Amino acid sequence: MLQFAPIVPEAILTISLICVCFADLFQTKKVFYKKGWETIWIAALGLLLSIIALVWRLPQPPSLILGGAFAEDSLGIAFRLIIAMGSFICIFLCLDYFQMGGTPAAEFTIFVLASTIGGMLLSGSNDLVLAFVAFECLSLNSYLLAGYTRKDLRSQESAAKYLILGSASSCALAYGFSWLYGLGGGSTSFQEIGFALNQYPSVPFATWIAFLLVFFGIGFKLSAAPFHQWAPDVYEGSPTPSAAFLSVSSKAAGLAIAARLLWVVFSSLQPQAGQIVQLLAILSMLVGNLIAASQSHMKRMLAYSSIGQIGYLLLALSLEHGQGQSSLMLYLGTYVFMNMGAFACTILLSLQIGTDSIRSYAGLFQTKPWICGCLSLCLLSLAGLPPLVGFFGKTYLFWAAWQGQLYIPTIIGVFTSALSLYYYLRVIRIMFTREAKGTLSWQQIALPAHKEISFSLEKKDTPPLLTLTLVLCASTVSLFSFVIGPLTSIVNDLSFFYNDGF
Amino acid sequence: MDIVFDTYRSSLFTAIELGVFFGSIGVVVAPSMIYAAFSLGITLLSIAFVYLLFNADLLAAAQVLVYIGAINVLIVFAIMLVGPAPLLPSRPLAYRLLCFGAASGLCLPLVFASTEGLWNKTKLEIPGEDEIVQIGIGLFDRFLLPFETVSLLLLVALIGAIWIARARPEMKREMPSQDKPLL
Repeated sequence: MLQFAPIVPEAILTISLICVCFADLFQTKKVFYKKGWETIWIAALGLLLSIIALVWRLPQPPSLILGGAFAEDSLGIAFRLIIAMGSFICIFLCLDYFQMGGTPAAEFTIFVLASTIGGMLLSGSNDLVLAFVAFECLSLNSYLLAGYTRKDLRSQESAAKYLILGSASSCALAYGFSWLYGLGGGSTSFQEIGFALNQYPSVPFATWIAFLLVFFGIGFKLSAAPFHQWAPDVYEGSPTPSAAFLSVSSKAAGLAIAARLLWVVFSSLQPQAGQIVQLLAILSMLVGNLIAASQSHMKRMLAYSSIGQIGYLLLALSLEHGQGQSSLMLYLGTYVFMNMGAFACTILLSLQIGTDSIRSYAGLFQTKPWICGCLSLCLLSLAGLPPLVGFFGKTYLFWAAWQGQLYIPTIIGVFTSALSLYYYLRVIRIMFTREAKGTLSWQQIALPAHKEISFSLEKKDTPPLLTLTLVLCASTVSLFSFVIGPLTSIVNDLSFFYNDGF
Repeated sequence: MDIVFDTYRSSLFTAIELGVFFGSIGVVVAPSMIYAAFSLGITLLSIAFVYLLFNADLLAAAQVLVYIGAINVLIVFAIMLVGPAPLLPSRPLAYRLLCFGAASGLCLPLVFASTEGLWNKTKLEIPGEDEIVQIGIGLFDRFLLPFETVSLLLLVALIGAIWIARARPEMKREMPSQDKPLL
């Protein structure tokens, strides 16, 4: 029985997923848009228990279970913890949003839970078969999440686009994995493949084919720069909680598998492999931050900003195993709260003013000072302004990159991060300085997606769960900077990936 | 247990591989859906013979039962239910050549790598008499987690398909024609 202890967090989530199915089946309320409270709480409880179980497993020594298919090491657990936290926040975002739009939220929680399980298994997988199956579990649910609001044409379009491009990237990943299987001497274990790749007297060209195919597949999931075209359309079209999930949990899982492959399997390709990742990082930082400056739609802007953010994270990834991991984890851990907070504010504002366009935020500070304050906090933290947590994460990351002698990428990183201040500040400036237009309540302007639905909700200006989430994110963003010291030491204590001494 | 590739075996192998090759080409280029479905059947059957040639009897049987007996028949049923699809206009030659080039560009490195003897086969095991035992052990050891994840994936795929296809109270209102679900 003991050997199953490492997958207890995933088991808890699976059980809560089944409970959500049954709770949805036996729910008694006939009015469909009031559904969802029970399922939300079951899912949240499952995720909370799973987070507790992960914290319990964190100090354990690294080990392999199930014949080497699954690795438990504290770096992998940290990734799983971040994915679970992202989904936990995302679950709270969805209820009010879907209730206002007249869509039941139960299936949304099922898809979020299943993709969380997929992402968590992906972060711990140590085997090609498990990695691919978990990757597919994550992807399939992402497509479903993107197309969740079925009545909305844009949501359907984004789901179809995501499905087709995502399948192409999955094909590339599977083909790359089959090359790895051949090169690794018919083994599917990451350690054995890495060992076999190191045995070749000179790096065979086929290893590069495998590397490029695999990183094409994962780069798509991360929406890193040459593979980013899907991200803005999908973020804009899909329901905002789905976009929040895609920008945080799904990316964390992609980073986890990228890091494990880069540091364990492709260690014989270093340092050239690291340089390719640096190239991706530079492109992402430039493309994401430059194009974000010209966006007029909040969700598109957040999509491009998250492309820029993935550039910073890839910069940490391109460092060698042992240098980059702690800065990567610190920045990713803070990024979850900053980005989720920004998305929570976007949802709250879109429910109240009925649109996501940045121009319509004009003068909102006078009517909704708290939401605008929280949004400003999250955006400034994403930009990396000093007292907020994003500043410390970014400084630590750039410092690690500088130590790793990545001078030019670091300079580009600092430059683009200064550039990003422009478009984050633009939103804040519009909210604080412009004249307020006559703002309509959400009852007058339904979400554009659901205009045909006449909903008969009681008037509540501040949806309780969303506000709670917002307060959680904003307080984390502002308070984490006081505990950045202990946080850094926790991150520094994370072990390496399980590598068996090869 | 080793498999000796004498002339008899290798000529058999070549014939089977040709079946896989032409079957899969047929899936792509067949003019109508039903021919493509039958080509898929040929491909799957040839793959079952490949398994048989490598002593994987159970896998061969499962391939015939599950993939041809169930999945391919299901595909044929689905095509019959949907009815004959209108013939797609044939693509221009340049387009087809481009696709052919891209596909062979992806495949040819694999062919070269196989002939170069790049693969080392140290970890490969040809199953002997105890094939079923090995599969059982594998399913409860290193493939337990992927196996369970696949069942979770299927469950969610089912829920997702129902979610996309099912009429809900909120959809009772007459929908505009272009509002049909895409997936």
